[in-house]
Amino acid sequence: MRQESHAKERLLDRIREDRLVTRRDYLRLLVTVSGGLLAGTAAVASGVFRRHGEGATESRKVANDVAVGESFTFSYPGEDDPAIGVRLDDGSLVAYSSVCTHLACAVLWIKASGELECPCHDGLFDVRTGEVLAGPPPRPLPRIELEERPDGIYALAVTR
Amino acid sequence: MNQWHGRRDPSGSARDHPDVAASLNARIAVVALIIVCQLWALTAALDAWLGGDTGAVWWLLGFQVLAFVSAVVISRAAPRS
Repeated sequence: MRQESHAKERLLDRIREDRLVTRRDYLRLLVTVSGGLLAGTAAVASGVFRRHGEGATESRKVANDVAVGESFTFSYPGEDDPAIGVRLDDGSLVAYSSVCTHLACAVLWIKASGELECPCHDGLFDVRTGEVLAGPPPRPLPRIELEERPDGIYALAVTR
Repeated sequence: MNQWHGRRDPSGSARDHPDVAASLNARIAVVALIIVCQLWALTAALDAWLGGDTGAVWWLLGFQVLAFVSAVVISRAAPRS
């Protein structure tokens, strides 16, 4: 009888041990999470996340001409870097990455309002500066420097 | 009197030592606070990186290293039962 009770007690102990997590286990888990966050930040710093315009080293012709108030789309510096250019009312040219800084939807030129709009979440950008005017985008649009030459419009570089 | 009669307490050795338990609880709280700060630093670093502010990313990485080392030291310095 006594032997049976002892065996039962041992079984209960084993079940309890399997289920319980000690304070030290919690502490070890938290330190592991801390190391993971450090690794994540190191990955960010090492350039795992690609930024628009990285590797832009040379100028490229992106359009022949564009009328006042009209827009044109192009890719710069790579084929996977969509951009949008606009000829403003005063005749100046501006261009930005057309990838919204919120969730990467395409940014469109709305001629009626004179703003760049991301239709996915109603993000609005100032067409003269690329700054966020409204909506959830956290950062301005990367700006693409343009130059007008006799034979067309050239993209020169990407600035943030 | 120890209710486990010399056998290992399945809830961990801290049960029999309230001072050790309190110390471990405090360490867990401090490391959890460090992790909250690290979460902020990670999001700030990603935002700075995508915004082109590379200098801020390196500062935040330095902060992360400091925070992780602090967490390890706090964990390693926990009293033994």
